[in-house]
Amino acid sequence: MSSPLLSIEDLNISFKTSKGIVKANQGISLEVREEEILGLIGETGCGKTTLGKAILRLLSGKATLEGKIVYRGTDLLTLPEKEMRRFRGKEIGIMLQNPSACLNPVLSAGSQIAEIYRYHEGMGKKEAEKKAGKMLELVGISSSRGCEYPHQFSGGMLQRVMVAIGLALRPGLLIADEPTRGLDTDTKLQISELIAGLVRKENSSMLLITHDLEIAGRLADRIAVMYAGEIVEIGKVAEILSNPKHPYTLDLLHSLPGKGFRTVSGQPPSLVSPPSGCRYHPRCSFRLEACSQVHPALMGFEGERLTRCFLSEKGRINETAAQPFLNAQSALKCEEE
Amino acid sequence: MWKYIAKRLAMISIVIAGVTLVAFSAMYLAPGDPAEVIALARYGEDLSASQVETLRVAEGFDAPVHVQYMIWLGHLLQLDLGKSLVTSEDVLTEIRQKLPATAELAIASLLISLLIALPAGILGALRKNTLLDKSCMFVSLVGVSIPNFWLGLLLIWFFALTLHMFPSYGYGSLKHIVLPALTLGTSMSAVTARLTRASLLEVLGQEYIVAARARGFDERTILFRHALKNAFLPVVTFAGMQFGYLLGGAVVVETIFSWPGIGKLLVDSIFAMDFSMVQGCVLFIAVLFSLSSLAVDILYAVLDPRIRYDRRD
Repeated sequence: MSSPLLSIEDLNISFKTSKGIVKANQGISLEVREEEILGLIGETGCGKTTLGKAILRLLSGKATLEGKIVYRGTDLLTLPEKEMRRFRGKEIGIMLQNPSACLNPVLSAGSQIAEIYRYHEGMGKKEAEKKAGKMLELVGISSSRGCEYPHQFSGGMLQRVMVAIGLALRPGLLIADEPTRGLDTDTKLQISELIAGLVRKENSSMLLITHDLEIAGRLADRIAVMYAGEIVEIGKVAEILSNPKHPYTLDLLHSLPGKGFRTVSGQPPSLVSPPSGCRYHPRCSFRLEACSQVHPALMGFEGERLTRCFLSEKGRINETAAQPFLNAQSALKCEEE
Repeated sequence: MWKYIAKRLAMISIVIAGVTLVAFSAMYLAPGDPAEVIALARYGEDLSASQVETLRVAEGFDAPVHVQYMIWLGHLLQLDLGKSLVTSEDVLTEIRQKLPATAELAIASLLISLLIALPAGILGALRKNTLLDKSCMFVSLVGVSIPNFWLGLLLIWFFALTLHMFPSYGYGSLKHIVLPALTLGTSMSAVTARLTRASLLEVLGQEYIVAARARGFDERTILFRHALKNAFLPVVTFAGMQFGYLLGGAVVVETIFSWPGIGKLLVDSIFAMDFSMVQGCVLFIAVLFSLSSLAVDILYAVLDPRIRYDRRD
């Protein structure tokens, strides 16, 4: 087992809003290991993006962070802002969501890559532009397009530019937030394989934040499932996909087009006043009486498996497999197909 | 880019064509018979009917209106704006003589306003809701609210009459331009500062600013490289329009400080019923304004690639 590159320890993130305190992340403990791709999945609004941004301390001043985010032995949360800047881009690269909003509309794509080299490595203009061109070629864009502006690129091409920016300084860790959102199926696969390929080639690690279980299953080594600001399940990809222990993971699996296409019923809970007990209990088809009262802890399971569910201990999800609608066995079968 | 400029020029020529019509018909929209009004201005109260008729024929007022317009337009195409009905001076020559004074005042005022507005707006946005921000915005609110004529008089009273630092009227030396330029500049800066602040605040809230921060840049780099160019887009439009407006002569300020510019020429001509001079001034001001808005459009395209290139893909 390789040592962790990034370890998040008991992280709480909250935002003060007019409607109350939003507890965006609660008690998050996660590891991204050396040369590992960790998929962080969950539905929109569950706090995935918040977590990704929090690692680089990119959240607005309204956010309160407690806990530890340790990267190669340094707790990022205690660093002064000036020191923190050395980690951004250089040690940890991030591809934020929505490339068309993340690129400056009045600067050419090439110059937005080149400026990274000029700033961090003190390169001259020519040298930086040359290196930016190489980076563009690396992500599959002709370097001659470097002088073009963001509005002249298609969505997939913009995402490639974001990859080039994220990996420009060969960071040890790349955080990719929804890198495939809004892309068609072909482009989605191309882009995700491009990112994973480059990350693996550089022996870097990646935190892949996505709502797309298929992409995560394809690229990641391990998967962490997030629900309502909490990690509900962590495990190796194959284990998570073939044998989900948490009912939410199971429901997510069922929502895949090839596996029933059943959406997870109910609405995501409010993060201002989350449900008592297990946060998933109002939407859970396996709930017990205790679920609405006692908040389950993230329990260790065989090997590296962690699950936040009372049932998982007893393997109850599998026992109830006879149910026609929610059926863990069927998920298993689908996986085998 | 050239296509873009050509398009703008075509639009400007349509505007100018409209302006010629308005400028010409102004004479007939004013009350009274033009020939009679001019004769009154030239010969005084006791004029005879024959004097009016002679003038009518001499100045071409006896022809039908549309014929007069065509004749006037024909002269215009040869850059002949006619002669002053009062002084018989050539209109274009007269305007040309007044142009430098107006241009100097416009440039000086614009410089003063930008020198005040840009730092104030940027500081206000960066130190949002601090005492500094609030005092800047309060001063700018006061600046917007004070009318030019009053600010001008206030400055005259303080700097000219009390401190004897600058002359209160006239044209010639650098000292003369200080008070009128200050009057115009400070009042213009008030709105520009607010616009700069609001625009920069909006840009600083954009995702690409967070993304730039995520690349490890310091706040200075982010401000100067990523934020300002975007934030200046609306400011350029506004300041450019103000400049165009000033080129047309700051009527009130030029009058207060006896500044021999186009604004003052226009007002004097209106009072003297000097129609051809008024027409010439209006037309000239319209052309200057259109050209300055063209300059703004070009500058805008230079700053914003989304305008510079046509969307094709």
